[in-house]
Amino acid sequence: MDRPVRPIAARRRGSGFLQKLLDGARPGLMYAIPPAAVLALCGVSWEIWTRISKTPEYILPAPTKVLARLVGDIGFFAGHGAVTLGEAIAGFLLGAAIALVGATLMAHSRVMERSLFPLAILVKVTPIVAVAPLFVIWFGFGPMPKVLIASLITFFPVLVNGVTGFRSLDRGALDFMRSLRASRREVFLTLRLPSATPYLFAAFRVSIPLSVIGAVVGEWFSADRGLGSVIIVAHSNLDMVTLFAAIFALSFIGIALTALAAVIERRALFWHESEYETGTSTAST
Amino acid sequence: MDASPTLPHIQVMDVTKIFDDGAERLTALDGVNLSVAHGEFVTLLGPSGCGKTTLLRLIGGLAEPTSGRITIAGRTPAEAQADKDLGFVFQEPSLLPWRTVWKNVRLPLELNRHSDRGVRADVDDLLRLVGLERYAGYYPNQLSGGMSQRVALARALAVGASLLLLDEPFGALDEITRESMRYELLRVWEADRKTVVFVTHSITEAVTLSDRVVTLSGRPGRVSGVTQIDLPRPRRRSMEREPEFLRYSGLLHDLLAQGGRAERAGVG
Repeated sequence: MDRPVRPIAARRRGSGFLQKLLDGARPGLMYAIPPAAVLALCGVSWEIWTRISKTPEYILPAPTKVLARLVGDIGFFAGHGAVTLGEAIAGFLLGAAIALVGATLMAHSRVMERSLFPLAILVKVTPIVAVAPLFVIWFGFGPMPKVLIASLITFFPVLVNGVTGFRSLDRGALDFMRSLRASRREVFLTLRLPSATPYLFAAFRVSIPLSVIGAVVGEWFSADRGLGSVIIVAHSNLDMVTLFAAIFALSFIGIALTALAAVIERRALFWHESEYETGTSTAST
Repeated sequence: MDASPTLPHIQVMDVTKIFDDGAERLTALDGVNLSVAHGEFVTLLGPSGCGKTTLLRLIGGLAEPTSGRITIAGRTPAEAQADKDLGFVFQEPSLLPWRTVWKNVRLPLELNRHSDRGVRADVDDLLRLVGLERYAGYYPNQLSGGMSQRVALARALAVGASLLLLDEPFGALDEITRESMRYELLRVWEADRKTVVFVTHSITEAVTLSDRVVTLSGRPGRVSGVTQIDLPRPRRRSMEREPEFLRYSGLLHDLLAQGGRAERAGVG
Protein backbone atom coordinates (compact mmCIF):
# COMPACT_ATOMS: atom_id res chain seq x y z
CA MET A 1 0.00 0.00 0.00
CA ASP A 2 2.99 2.22 0.34
CA ARG A 3 4.04 2.41 -3.25
CA PRO A 4 4.05 5.73 -5.08
CA VAL A 5 0.59 6.35 -6.41
CA ARG A 6 1.38 8.52 -9.37
CA PRO A 7 3.03 6.74 -12.25
CA ILE A 8 5.87 8.58 -13.85
CA ALA A 9 4.85 7.81 -17.40
CA ALA A 10 2.87 10.45 -19.28
CA ARG A 11 -0.84 9.85 -19.59
CA ARG A 12 -2.43 9.33 -22.96
CA ARG A 13 -5.99 10.08 -23.89
CA GLY A 14 -8.16 9.11 -26.82
CA SER A 15 -7.54 6.41 -29.35
CA GLY A 16 -8.93 7.78 -32.63
CA PHE A 17 -7.01 7.75 -35.85
CA LEU A 18 -5.79 11.33 -35.47
CA GLN A 19 -4.74 10.64 -31.88
CA LYS A 20 -2.71 7.60 -32.99
CA LEU A 21 -1.11 9.63 -35.70
CA LEU A 22 -0.22 12.33 -33.22
CA ASP A 23 1.06 9.84 -30.66
CA GLY A 24 3.50 8.58 -33.23
CA ALA A 25 4.91 12.06 -33.71
CA ARG A 26 7.44 13.64 -31.38
CA PRO A 27 5.68 15.35 -28.44
CA GLY A 28 6.53 18.87 -29.63
CA LEU A 29 5.21 18.12 -33.09
CA MET A 30 2.08 16.61 -31.58
CA TYR A 31 1.12 20.00 -30.20
CA ALA A 32 2.20 21.94 -33.27
CA ILE A 33 0.36 20.00 -35.96
CA PRO A 34 -3.32 20.79 -35.21
CA PRO A 35 -2.94 24.58 -34.88
CA ALA A 36 -0.62 24.68 -37.90
CA ALA A 37 -3.24 22.84 -39.96
CA VAL A 38 -5.95 25.32 -38.97
CA LEU A 39 -3.66 28.23 -39.71
CA ALA A 40 -2.78 26.82 -43.12
CA LEU A 41 -6.49 26.41 -43.89
CA CYS A 42 -7.14 30.06 -43.02
CA GLY A 43 -4.25 31.15 -45.22
CA VAL A 44 -5.43 29.10 -48.17
CA SER A 45 -9.01 30.44 -47.87
CA TRP A 46 -7.68 33.99 -47.71
CA GLU A 47 -5.53 33.40 -50.80
CA ILE A 48 -8.44 31.91 -52.77
CA TRP A 49 -10.78 34.72 -51.70
CA THR A 50 -8.44 37.49 -52.84
CA ARG A 51 -7.94 35.76 -56.21
CA ILE A 52 -11.61 35.05 -56.91
CA SER A 53 -12.93 38.42 -55.76
CA LYS A 54 -10.04 40.31 -57.33
CA THR A 55 -9.78 42.49 -54.23
CA PRO A 56 -7.38 45.36 -54.92
CA GLU A 57 -4.02 45.05 -53.23
CA TYR A 58 -4.41 48.33 -51.31
CA ILE A 59 -7.47 46.84 -49.53
CA LEU A 60 -6.40 43.26 -48.87
CA PRO A 61 -3.25 41.78 -50.38
CA ALA A 62 -2.96 38.01 -50.92
CA PRO A 63 -1.02 36.23 -48.17
CA THR A 64 1.50 34.88 -50.68
CA LYS A 65 2.38 38.47 -51.64
CA VAL A 66 2.73 39.45 -47.98
CA LEU A 67 4.98 36.46 -47.31
CA ALA A 68 7.02 37.24 -50.41
CA ARG A 69 7.52 40.80 -49.16
CA LEU A 70 8.42 39.54 -45.68
CA VAL A 71 10.93 36.98 -46.91
CA GLY A 72 12.28 39.15 -49.69
CA ASP A 73 13.09 41.99 -47.32
CA ILE A 74 13.80 39.90 -44.24
CA GLY A 75 16.68 42.11 -43.13
CA PHE A 76 14.40 45.16 -43.02
CA PHE A 77 11.71 43.42 -40.96
CA ALA A 78 14.18 41.64 -38.70
CA GLY A 79 15.91 44.93 -37.93
CA HIS A 80 12.72 46.76 -37.03
CA GLY A 81 11.38 43.66 -35.30
CA ALA A 82 14.47 43.50 -33.09
CA VAL A 83 13.87 47.10 -32.00
CA THR A 84 10.24 46.38 -31.05
CA LEU A 85 11.19 43.09 -29.40
CA GLY A 86 13.89 44.81 -27.33
CA GLU A 87 11.48 47.51 -26.17
CA ALA A 88 8.83 44.92 -25.30
CA ILE A 89 11.24 42.73 -23.33
CA ALA A 90 12.76 45.69 -21.48
CA GLY A 91 9.28 46.99 -20.71
CA PHE A 92 8.09 43.59 -19.51
CA LEU A 93 11.11 43.12 -17.26
CA LEU A 94 10.76 46.59 -15.79
CA GLY A 95 6.99 46.31 -15.29
CA ALA A 96 7.24 42.80 -13.81
CA ALA A 97 10.06 43.84 -11.46
CA ILE A 98 8.13 46.84 -10.11
CA ALA A 99 4.99 44.71 -9.82
CA LEU A 100 6.88 42.03 -7.86
CA VAL A 101 8.25 44.55 -5.39
CA GLY A 102 4.76 46.04 -5.00
CA ALA A 103 3.17 42.61 -4.59
CA THR A 104 5.73 41.66 -1.94
CA LEU A 105 4.96 44.80 0.06
CA MET A 106 1.23 44.37 -0.35
CA ALA A 107 1.26 40.68 0.57
CA HIS A 108 3.00 41.47 3.84
CA SER A 109 0.91 44.42 4.91
CA ARG A 110 -2.79 45.16 4.55
CA VAL A 111 -2.07 48.87 5.05
CA MET A 112 0.30 48.79 2.08
CA GLU A 113 -2.31 46.96 0.07
CA ARG A 114 -5.01 49.49 0.90
CA SER A 115 -2.79 52.44 0.03
CA LEU A 116 -1.14 51.06 -3.11
CA PHE A 117 -3.90 49.07 -4.73
CA PRO A 118 -6.15 52.00 -5.74
CA LEU A 119 -3.13 53.56 -7.42
CA ALA A 120 -2.49 50.34 -9.32
CA ILE A 121 -6.12 50.25 -10.42
CA LEU A 122 -5.85 53.84 -11.61
CA VAL A 123 -2.88 52.84 -13.76
CA LYS A 124 -4.82 49.87 -15.02
CA VAL A 125 -8.04 51.68 -16.02
CA THR A 126 -6.33 54.60 -17.74
CA PRO A 127 -6.24 53.79 -21.48
CA ILE A 128 -2.62 53.38 -22.40
CA VAL A 129 -3.17 55.01 -25.80
CA ALA A 130 -4.19 58.20 -24.00
CA VAL A 131 -0.96 58.32 -22.02
CA ALA A 132 1.37 57.48 -24.89
CA PRO A 133 1.59 61.00 -26.45
CA LEU A 134 2.32 62.44 -23.02
CA PHE A 135 5.21 60.02 -22.53
CA VAL A 136 6.69 61.15 -25.84
CA ILE A 137 6.73 64.75 -24.62
CA TRP A 138 8.28 63.72 -21.32
CA PHE A 139 10.78 61.14 -22.46
CA GLY A 140 11.59 62.09 -26.03
CA PHE A 141 11.82 60.10 -29.22
CA GLY A 142 14.21 57.38 -28.09
CA PRO A 143 13.30 53.90 -26.80
CA MET A 144 12.46 55.24 -23.33
CA PRO A 145 8.75 56.09 -23.77
CA LYS A 146 8.12 52.76 -25.57
CA VAL A 147 9.73 50.80 -22.76
CA LEU A 148 7.71 52.72 -20.18
CA ILE A 149 4.43 52.19 -22.00
CA ALA A 150 5.19 48.47 -22.31
CA SER A 151 6.03 48.28 -18.61
CA LEU A 152 2.88 50.16 -17.65
CA ILE A 153 0.72 47.71 -19.55
CA THR A 154 2.50 44.62 -18.13
CA PHE A 155 2.48 45.87 -14.56
CA PHE A 156 -1.06 45.16 -13.45
CA PRO A 157 -1.53 41.44 -14.18
CA VAL A 158 1.76 40.63 -12.48
CA LEU A 159 0.85 42.74 -9.46
CA VAL A 160 -2.58 41.20 -8.94
CA ASN A 161 -1.41 37.63 -9.40
CA GLY A 162 1.67 38.30 -7.30
CA VAL A 163 -0.37 39.46 -4.31
CA THR A 164 -2.73 36.48 -4.62
CA GLY A 165 0.20 34.11 -5.13
CA PHE A 166 2.21 35.35 -2.17
CA ARG A 167 -0.84 34.85 0.03
CA SER A 168 -1.85 31.44 -1.35
CA LEU A 169 0.27 29.18 0.71
CA ASP A 170 -0.07 25.93 2.58
CA ARG A 171 -1.11 26.89 6.13
CA GLY A 172 0.52 23.79 7.57
CA ALA A 173 3.85 24.57 5.93
CA LEU A 174 3.63 28.14 7.21
CA ASP A 175 2.80 26.92 10.73
CA PHE A 176 5.70 24.50 10.60
CA MET A 177 8.10 27.28 9.65
CA ARG A 178 6.64 29.58 12.30
CA SER A 179 7.16 26.85 14.90
CA LEU A 180 10.87 27.10 14.11
CA ARG A 181 10.88 30.88 14.32
CA ALA A 182 11.80 31.19 10.66
CA SER A 183 12.36 34.83 9.72
CA ARG A 184 10.06 36.67 7.30
CA ARG A 185 12.85 36.55 4.78
CA GLU A 186 13.19 32.78 5.14
CA VAL A 187 9.43 32.30 4.85
CA PHE A 188 9.38 34.51 1.77
CA LEU A 189 12.22 32.77 -0.02
CA THR A 190 11.45 29.16 0.89
CA LEU A 191 7.65 29.26 0.90
CA ARG A 192 5.93 32.38 -0.46
CA LEU A 193 7.96 32.89 -3.61
CA PRO A 194 7.88 29.26 -4.82
CA SER A 195 4.18 28.99 -3.91
CA ALA A 196 3.48 32.06 -6.03
CA THR A 197 5.25 30.88 -9.18
CA PRO A 198 2.15 29.28 -10.77
CA TYR A 199 0.30 32.58 -10.31
CA LEU A 200 3.24 34.58 -11.62
CA PHE A 201 3.60 32.47 -14.75
CA ALA A 202 -0.12 32.80 -15.41
CA ALA A 203 0.38 36.59 -15.24
CA PHE A 204 3.44 36.44 -17.51
CA ARG A 205 1.38 34.62 -20.11
CA VAL A 206 -0.98 37.61 -20.21
CA SER A 207 1.69 40.26 -19.81
CA ILE A 208 4.16 39.17 -22.44
CA PRO A 209 1.86 39.70 -25.45
CA LEU A 210 0.67 42.94 -23.81
CA SER A 211 4.23 44.22 -23.67
CA VAL A 212 4.49 43.88 -27.46
CA ILE A 213 1.27 45.90 -27.80
CA GLY A 214 2.73 48.55 -25.51
CA ALA A 215 5.90 48.83 -27.57
CA VAL A 216 3.96 49.12 -30.86
CA VAL A 217 1.60 51.76 -29.47
CA GLY A 218 4.62 53.72 -28.26
CA GLU A 219 6.17 53.55 -31.73
CA TRP A 220 3.04 54.89 -33.39
CA PHE A 221 3.50 58.21 -31.70
CA SER A 222 7.17 58.80 -32.18
CA ALA A 223 9.48 56.53 -33.97
CA ASP A 224 11.50 56.04 -37.06
CA ARG A 225 12.41 52.54 -35.95
CA GLY A 226 10.43 49.47 -34.94
CA LEU A 227 7.50 47.62 -36.51
CA GLY A 228 5.03 50.15 -35.10
CA SER A 229 6.63 52.91 -37.14
CA VAL A 230 6.77 50.62 -40.19
CA ILE A 231 3.00 50.16 -39.87
CA ILE A 232 2.35 53.93 -39.62
CA VAL A 233 4.54 54.74 -42.64
CA ALA A 234 3.08 51.89 -44.72
CA HIS A 235 -0.41 53.01 -43.78
CA SER A 236 0.13 56.57 -44.97
CA ASN A 237 1.55 55.22 -48.26
CA LEU A 238 -1.37 52.78 -48.65
CA ASP A 239 1.32 50.09 -48.86
CA MET A 240 -0.83 47.24 -47.53
CA VAL A 241 1.67 44.55 -48.42
CA THR A 242 4.30 46.07 -46.12
CA LEU A 243 1.70 46.78 -43.47
CA PHE A 244 0.57 43.16 -43.44
CA ALA A 245 4.14 41.93 -43.49
CA ALA A 246 4.80 44.00 -40.36
CA ILE A 247 1.69 42.52 -38.74
CA PHE A 248 2.90 39.02 -39.62
CA ALA A 249 6.26 39.83 -38.09
CA LEU A 250 4.57 41.06 -34.90
CA SER A 251 2.49 37.89 -34.67
CA PHE A 252 5.63 35.88 -35.05
CA ILE A 253 7.29 37.80 -32.21
CA GLY A 254 4.23 37.25 -30.04
CA ILE A 255 4.17 33.52 -30.75
CA ALA A 256 7.90 33.16 -30.14
CA LEU A 257 7.73 34.99 -26.78
CA THR A 258 4.68 33.04 -25.63
CA ALA A 259 6.28 29.74 -26.60
CA LEU A 260 9.47 30.68 -24.78
CA ALA A 261 7.48 31.55 -21.67
CA ALA A 262 5.61 28.24 -21.90
CA VAL A 263 8.86 26.29 -22.07
CA ILE A 264 10.29 28.10 -19.04
CA GLU A 265 7.00 27.64 -17.21
CA ARG A 266 6.94 23.91 -17.85
CA ARG A 267 10.44 23.56 -16.49
CA ALA A 268 9.85 25.74 -13.45
CA LEU A 269 6.47 24.28 -12.52
CA PHE A 270 7.21 20.59 -13.01
CA TRP A 271 5.82 20.04 -9.50
CA HIS A 272 2.52 21.82 -10.02
CA GLU A 273 -0.87 20.17 -10.71
CA SER A 274 -1.43 22.24 -13.84
CA GLU A 275 1.41 20.38 -15.52
CA TYR A 276 -0.26 16.98 -15.22
CA GLU A 277 -3.02 18.07 -17.54
CA THR A 278 -0.62 18.29 -20.43
CA GLY A 279 0.81 14.89 -19.55
CA THR A 280 4.21 16.27 -18.65
CA SER A 281 5.93 13.82 -16.38
CA THR A 282 7.40 14.80 -13.04
CA ALA A 283 10.59 13.73 -11.40
CA SER A 284 13.29 11.59 -12.79
CA THR A 285 13.98 9.27 -9.92
CA MET B 1 18.32 25.32 29.23
CA ASP B 2 17.38 24.53 32.79
CA ALA B 3 15.66 21.30 31.92
CA SER B 4 15.92 19.42 35.15
CA PRO B 5 14.53 15.91 34.66
CA THR B 6 12.47 16.18 37.85
CA LEU B 7 10.53 19.13 36.48
CA PRO B 8 7.76 18.41 34.03
CA HIS B 9 8.68 18.98 30.39
CA ILE B 10 5.43 20.78 29.67
CA GLN B 11 3.32 22.63 32.17
CA VAL B 12 -0.07 24.04 31.27
CA MET B 13 -1.38 26.18 34.12
CA ASP B 14 -4.99 27.29 34.21
CA VAL B 15 -5.08 28.05 30.52
CA THR B 16 -8.13 29.63 28.94
CA LYS B 17 -8.48 30.45 25.27
CA ILE B 18 -11.30 32.61 23.98
CA PHE B 19 -11.73 33.31 20.29
CA ASP B 20 -13.39 36.67 19.86
CA ASP B 21 -13.86 38.07 16.39
CA GLY B 22 -16.09 40.91 17.54
CA ALA B 23 -19.30 39.24 16.44
CA GLU B 24 -18.91 35.99 18.33
CA ARG B 25 -17.13 34.82 21.47
CA LEU B 26 -16.10 31.20 21.63
CA THR B 27 -14.48 29.72 24.72
CA ALA B 28 -12.31 26.99 23.22
CA LEU B 29 -10.51 26.09 26.44
CA ASP B 30 -11.55 26.83 29.98
CA GLY B 31 -9.13 26.50 32.90
CA VAL B 32 -7.03 23.65 31.55
CA ASN B 33 -4.22 22.23 33.68
CA LEU B 34 -1.81 19.61 32.44
CA SER B 35 1.74 18.52 32.97
CA VAL B 36 3.77 16.20 30.80
CA ALA B 37 6.97 14.51 31.96
CA HIS B 38 10.14 14.18 29.92
CA GLY B 39 9.94 11.23 27.54
CA GLU B 40 6.23 10.76 28.14
CA PHE B 41 3.77 9.97 25.35
CA VAL B 42 0.58 11.87 26.13
CA THR B 43 -2.54 11.86 23.99
CA LEU B 44 -5.22 14.54 23.95
CA LEU B 45 -8.43 12.70 23.12
CA GLY B 46 -11.78 14.24 22.44
CA PRO B 47 -14.51 14.87 19.89
CA SER B 48 -14.15 17.42 17.09
CA GLY B 49 -14.32 20.96 18.40
CA CYS B 50 -13.32 20.11 21.97
CA GLY B 51 -10.28 22.35 21.78
CA LYS B 52 -7.61 19.63 21.66
CA THR B 53 -5.96 21.08 18.57
CA THR B 54 -6.17 24.56 20.11
CA LEU B 55 -4.39 23.27 23.21
CA LEU B 56 -1.65 21.71 21.07
CA ARG B 57 -1.19 24.95 19.13
CA LEU B 58 -0.92 26.89 22.39
CA ILE B 59 1.75 24.46 23.63
CA GLY B 60 3.57 24.86 20.33
CA GLY B 61 3.38 28.64 20.46
CA LEU B 62 1.28 28.97 17.28
CA ALA B 63 -1.35 30.81 19.32
CA GLU B 64 -1.40 32.71 22.61
CA PRO B 65 -3.59 31.76 25.58
CA THR B 66 -6.14 34.36 26.66
CA SER B 67 -5.13 33.71 30.25
CA GLY B 68 -2.94 31.22 32.09
CA ARG B 69 0.60 30.12 31.44
CA ILE B 70 2.44 27.44 29.51
CA THR B 71 6.07 26.49 30.01
CA ILE B 72 8.26 24.10 28.06
CA ALA B 73 11.26 23.06 30.10
CA GLY B 74 10.99 26.36 31.97
CA ARG B 75 10.66 28.50 28.85
CA THR B 76 7.72 30.12 27.12
CA PRO B 77 6.56 28.35 23.94
CA ALA B 78 7.99 31.27 21.92
CA GLU B 79 11.39 30.73 23.51
CA ALA B 80 11.17 27.00 22.83
CA GLN B 81 10.42 27.86 19.18
CA ALA B 82 13.42 30.15 19.03
CA ASP B 83 15.56 27.29 20.44
CA LYS B 84 14.13 25.01 17.74
CA ASP B 85 13.00 22.72 20.50
CA LEU B 86 9.65 21.54 19.16
CA GLY B 87 8.70 19.63 16.05
CA PHE B 88 5.19 19.72 14.57
CA VAL B 89 3.32 17.24 12.40
CA PHE B 90 -0.12 18.29 11.20
CA GLN B 91 -3.10 16.43 9.79
CA GLU B 92 -2.02 17.32 6.26
CA PRO B 93 1.61 16.54 5.41
CA SER B 94 2.13 20.13 4.17
CA LEU B 95 5.29 19.25 2.31
CA LEU B 96 6.80 21.68 -0.17
CA PRO B 97 5.81 20.19 -3.55
CA TRP B 98 8.77 21.69 -5.43
CA ARG B 99 11.27 19.97 -3.16
CA THR B 100 12.29 16.33 -3.20
CA VAL B 101 11.64 14.17 -0.15
CA TRP B 102 15.27 14.64 0.88
CA LYS B 103 15.12 18.41 0.66
CA ASN B 104 11.78 18.51 2.48
CA VAL B 105 13.29 16.67 5.41
CA ARG B 106 16.24 19.03 5.33
CA LEU B 107 14.02 22.13 5.59
CA PRO B 108 14.35 22.61 9.38
CA LEU B 109 18.13 22.58 9.01
CA GLU B 110 17.94 25.57 6.68
CA LEU B 111 15.76 27.77 8.88
CA ASN B 112 16.66 29.84 11.93
CA ARG B 113 20.18 28.46 11.75
CA HIS B 114 21.75 30.47 14.53
CA SER B 115 19.74 28.38 17.01
CA ASP B 116 21.29 25.11 15.89
CA ARG B 117 22.90 23.31 18.77
CA GLY B 118 25.91 21.71 17.13
CA VAL B 119 24.31 18.34 16.61
CA ARG B 120 22.74 18.36 13.17
CA ALA B 121 20.30 15.67 12.24
CA ASP B 122 21.38 13.49 9.34
CA VAL B 123 18.72 13.50 6.63
CA ASP B 124 19.70 10.07 5.31
CA ASP B 125 19.49 8.56 8.79
CA LEU B 126 16.04 10.04 9.30
CA LEU B 127 14.80 8.74 5.96
CA ARG B 128 16.12 5.31 6.89
CA LEU B 129 14.35 5.58 10.25
CA VAL B 130 10.97 6.18 8.59
CA GLY B 131 11.72 3.58 5.91
CA LEU B 132 11.90 5.95 2.95
CA GLU B 133 15.59 5.90 2.06
CA ARG B 134 14.73 4.66 -1.42
CA TYR B 135 12.43 7.61 -2.05
CA ALA B 136 14.84 10.43 -1.26
CA GLY B 137 14.69 11.76 -4.83
CA TYR B 138 10.90 11.59 -5.18
CA TYR B 139 8.62 14.60 -5.18
CA PRO B 140 5.65 14.78 -2.77
CA ASN B 141 3.07 14.36 -5.55
CA GLN B 142 4.57 10.95 -6.31
CA LEU B 143 3.96 9.69 -2.76
CA SER B 144 0.95 8.06 -1.12
CA GLY B 145 -0.71 9.67 1.90
CA GLY B 146 1.05 7.37 4.35
CA MET B 147 4.46 8.01 2.80
CA SER B 148 3.89 11.77 2.81
CA GLN B 149 3.04 11.66 6.49
CA ARG B 150 6.22 9.69 7.18
CA VAL B 151 8.18 12.42 5.39
CA ALA B 152 6.41 14.99 7.58
CA LEU B 153 7.43 12.96 10.63
CA ALA B 154 11.05 12.80 9.46
CA ARG B 155 10.94 16.56 8.85
CA ALA B 156 9.70 17.15 12.40
CA LEU B 157 12.46 14.89 13.75
CA ALA B 158 15.04 16.81 11.72
CA VAL B 159 14.37 19.82 13.93
CA GLY B 160 16.30 17.90 16.57
CA ALA B 161 13.77 18.95 19.21
CA SER B 162 13.10 17.17 22.49
CA LEU B 163 9.36 17.61 22.02
CA LEU B 164 7.11 16.34 19.22
CA LEU B 165 3.65 17.81 18.72
CA LEU B 166 1.43 15.67 16.51
CA ASP B 167 -1.94 17.07 15.47
CA GLU B 168 -4.11 14.20 14.21
CA PRO B 169 -1.25 13.13 11.95
CA PHE B 170 -3.14 10.05 10.69
CA GLY B 171 -6.52 11.77 10.43
CA ALA B 172 -6.47 12.04 6.66
CA LEU B 173 -5.33 8.45 6.03
CA ASP B 174 -7.39 5.39 5.21
CA GLU B 175 -8.03 2.87 8.00
CA ILE B 176 -5.47 0.29 6.88
CA THR B 177 -2.68 2.83 6.49
CA ARG B 178 -3.63 4.41 9.80
CA GLU B 179 -3.14 1.13 11.57
CA SER B 180 0.31 0.50 10.17
CA MET B 181 1.29 4.12 10.84
CA ARG B 182 0.50 3.69 14.54
CA TYR B 183 3.14 1.02 14.89
CA GLU B 184 5.51 2.85 12.57
CA LEU B 185 5.29 5.89 14.88
CA LEU B 186 5.87 3.71 17.96
CA ARG B 187 8.92 2.11 16.36
CA VAL B 188 10.37 5.55 15.56
CA TRP B 189 9.52 6.84 19.02
CA GLU B 190 11.12 3.84 20.76
CA ALA B 191 14.44 4.83 19.18
CA ASP B 192 14.95 7.80 21.52
CA ARG B 193 11.67 8.35 23.40
CA LYS B 194 11.16 12.05 22.96
CA THR B 195 8.30 13.72 24.73
CA VAL B 196 5.19 13.49 22.52
CA VAL B 197 1.87 15.24 22.68
CA PHE B 198 -0.50 13.52 20.28
CA VAL B 199 -3.93 14.80 19.31
CA THR B 200 -6.58 12.38 18.06
CA HIS B 201 -10.24 11.45 18.22
CA SER B 202 -9.48 7.76 17.82
CA ILE B 203 -9.70 5.73 21.03
CA THR B 204 -7.68 2.86 19.53
CA GLU B 205 -4.87 5.24 18.63
CA ALA B 206 -4.92 6.73 22.10
CA VAL B 207 -4.68 3.35 23.86
CA THR B 208 -2.10 1.88 21.48
CA LEU B 209 0.30 4.80 21.62
CA SER B 210 0.05 6.53 24.96
CA ASP B 211 1.47 6.43 28.46
CA ARG B 212 -1.33 8.72 29.50
CA VAL B 213 -4.57 9.82 27.83
CA VAL B 214 -6.11 13.19 28.61
CA THR B 215 -9.78 13.27 27.63
CA LEU B 216 -11.32 16.63 26.82
CA SER B 217 -14.98 17.52 26.69
CA GLY B 218 -16.14 20.15 24.29
CA ARG B 219 -17.39 23.74 24.37
CA PRO B 220 -15.87 25.03 26.50
CA GLY B 221 -12.98 22.56 26.36
CA ARG B 222 -12.20 21.12 29.77
CA VAL B 223 -10.14 18.15 30.93
CA SER B 224 -12.71 15.46 31.74
CA GLY B 225 -10.29 12.75 32.76
CA VAL B 226 -6.71 11.51 32.79
CA THR B 227 -6.10 7.82 32.21
CA GLN B 228 -2.80 6.02 32.76
CA ILE B 229 -2.33 3.28 30.15
CA ASP B 230 -0.35 0.53 31.88
CA LEU B 231 0.22 -1.72 28.92
CA PRO B 232 3.74 -3.12 28.47
CA ARG B 233 6.03 -1.61 25.86
CA PRO B 234 6.88 -2.14 23.10
CA ARG B 235 3.23 -2.34 22.16
CA ARG B 236 2.23 -4.95 19.61
CA ARG B 237 -0.61 -5.35 17.16
CA SER B 238 -1.82 -8.50 18.94
CA MET B 239 -2.52 -6.44 22.07
CA GLU B 240 -5.43 -4.76 20.38
CA ARG B 241 -7.49 -7.94 20.92
CA GLU B 242 -6.48 -8.53 24.55
CA PRO B 243 -8.96 -7.90 27.39
CA GLU B 244 -6.74 -5.29 29.06
CA PHE B 245 -6.64 -3.21 25.86
CA LEU B 246 -10.38 -3.50 25.44
CA ARG B 247 -10.90 -2.49 29.07
CA TYR B 248 -8.96 0.75 28.47
CA SER B 249 -10.91 1.36 25.27
CA GLY B 250 -14.18 0.94 27.15
CA LEU B 251 -12.98 3.24 29.92
CA LEU B 252 -12.05 6.02 27.48
CA HIS B 253 -15.27 5.49 25.61
CA ASP B 254 -17.24 6.03 28.84
CA LEU B 255 -15.19 9.11 29.71
CA LEU B 256 -15.93 10.64 26.30
CA ALA B 257 -19.63 9.77 26.62
CA GLN B 258 -19.76 11.33 30.10
CA GLY B 259 -18.10 14.45 28.75
CA GLY B 260 -20.76 14.60 26.08
CA ARG B 261 -23.55 14.23 28.67
CA ALA B 262 -22.03 16.85 30.95
CA GLU B 263 -21.80 19.17 27.97
CA ARG B 264 -25.44 18.72 27.08
CA ALA B 265 -26.49 19.15 30.70
CA GLY B 266 -24.40 22.30 30.94
CA VAL B 267 -25.92 23.81 27.81
CA GLY B 268 -29.51 22.86 28.66
